[in-house]
Amino acid sequence: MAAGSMTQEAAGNGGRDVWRVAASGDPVELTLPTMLGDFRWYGNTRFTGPQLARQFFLAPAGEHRAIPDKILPGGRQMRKAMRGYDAVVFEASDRSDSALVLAGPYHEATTWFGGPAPTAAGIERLLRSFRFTDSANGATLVPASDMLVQQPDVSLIGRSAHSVLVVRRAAEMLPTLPEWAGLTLPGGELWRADRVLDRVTAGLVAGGPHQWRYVLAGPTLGMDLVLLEPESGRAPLPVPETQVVDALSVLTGRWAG
Amino acid sequence: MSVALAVALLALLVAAFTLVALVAVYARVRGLEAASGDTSLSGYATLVGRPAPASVRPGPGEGCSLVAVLDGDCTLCATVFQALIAVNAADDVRVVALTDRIHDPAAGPGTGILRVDVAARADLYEGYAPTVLAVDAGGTVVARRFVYADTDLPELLRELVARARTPQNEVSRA
Repeated sequence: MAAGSMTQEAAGNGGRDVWRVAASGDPVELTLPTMLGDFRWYGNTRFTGPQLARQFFLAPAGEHRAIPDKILPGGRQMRKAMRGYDAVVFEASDRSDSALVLAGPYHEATTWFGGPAPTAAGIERLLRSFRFTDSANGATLVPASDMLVQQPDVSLIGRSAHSVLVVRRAAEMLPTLPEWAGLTLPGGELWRADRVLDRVTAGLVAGGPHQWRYVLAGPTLGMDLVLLEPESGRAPLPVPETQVVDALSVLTGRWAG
Repeated sequence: MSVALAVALLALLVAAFTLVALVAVYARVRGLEAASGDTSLSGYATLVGRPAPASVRPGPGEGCSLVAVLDGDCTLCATVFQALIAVNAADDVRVVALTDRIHDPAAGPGTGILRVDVAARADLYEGYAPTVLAVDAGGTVVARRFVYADTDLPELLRELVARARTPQNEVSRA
């Protein structure tokens, strides 16, 4: 839906306040530079426990229509209506791959099996071990019992025409941060990191603000920002790197819970 | 009785008690495992496959009913309401639109199908409006669809009516 996130212009500093719910159910407040454009929100989460290791990708509702159309054309589909969402199983015609989509009214969560789909009883058991709750500000996917199942690696992923922003809890971000001190900004500490690009695209972005990934670590969350431009066929941002850093000083957030 | 014998008897007693406790815990765990097979942990029962509230079931002579769960103040809900009026005029289908409030009681034709029934709406609301449900002749919910701005409404309503007339499982194309 278009009204996917509550946004409002923050007073005069070129920022925009966004309030989202992460897959773990934690509220996340962000102030994003308007320079980065409007974001569509995705997410990622993982579950580990006895006889369970599964990763789910969260996306705005309707994106799973690419599966029967493009990824597994001519495959089998099974739809089961649950309270507040549909559980849809897609299986390739040769049973080489399959996916389960929890399709809510606003968002959806997808997991891939990498082989034949589980039996109806297996799907039933999988659905019983998670609780999926959808809302306009983000879908929540948590284990039905958190005594056995852990939920590491929860991330919020914002995609706009110009950038990809990955937001994670500070505790999960910590091992990936550099040892040296970064530039102090109002939202936390800022580092530049290398991007993984081949030689041709690396040549395209050399010397500009697109040469780097920007890593910002605040007290409760960490953010990883990539500015998409020349390497994906778009025009580069017409600003020097210093101005990008100025814009990033608006970027702050709080991961509650 | 020697001290050694007394200690041995006490140890035997403790061992017997431990065994009984272990068996009891094991039985309890197995019982819980068996019980969790048929209760939904989420606390919300699935709507599809369950009997609908009496106030929205099809009456005698009606093959099925279409129930829309609407909000008082969304524009898309008004579109759904208009599409339902068309179905109501054309078929022997019972059509009910459950809303949380009516702004203008005298607004337009077809208000006979619009109803404020808080209990039934709360029972059928799944966190999103507009939603359309199909109820078969037996009063069981057979399908539920969320309606979006780009949904082909006449096609959706036709499909739901067809589904309610020929009861089958929710195993179909998307």
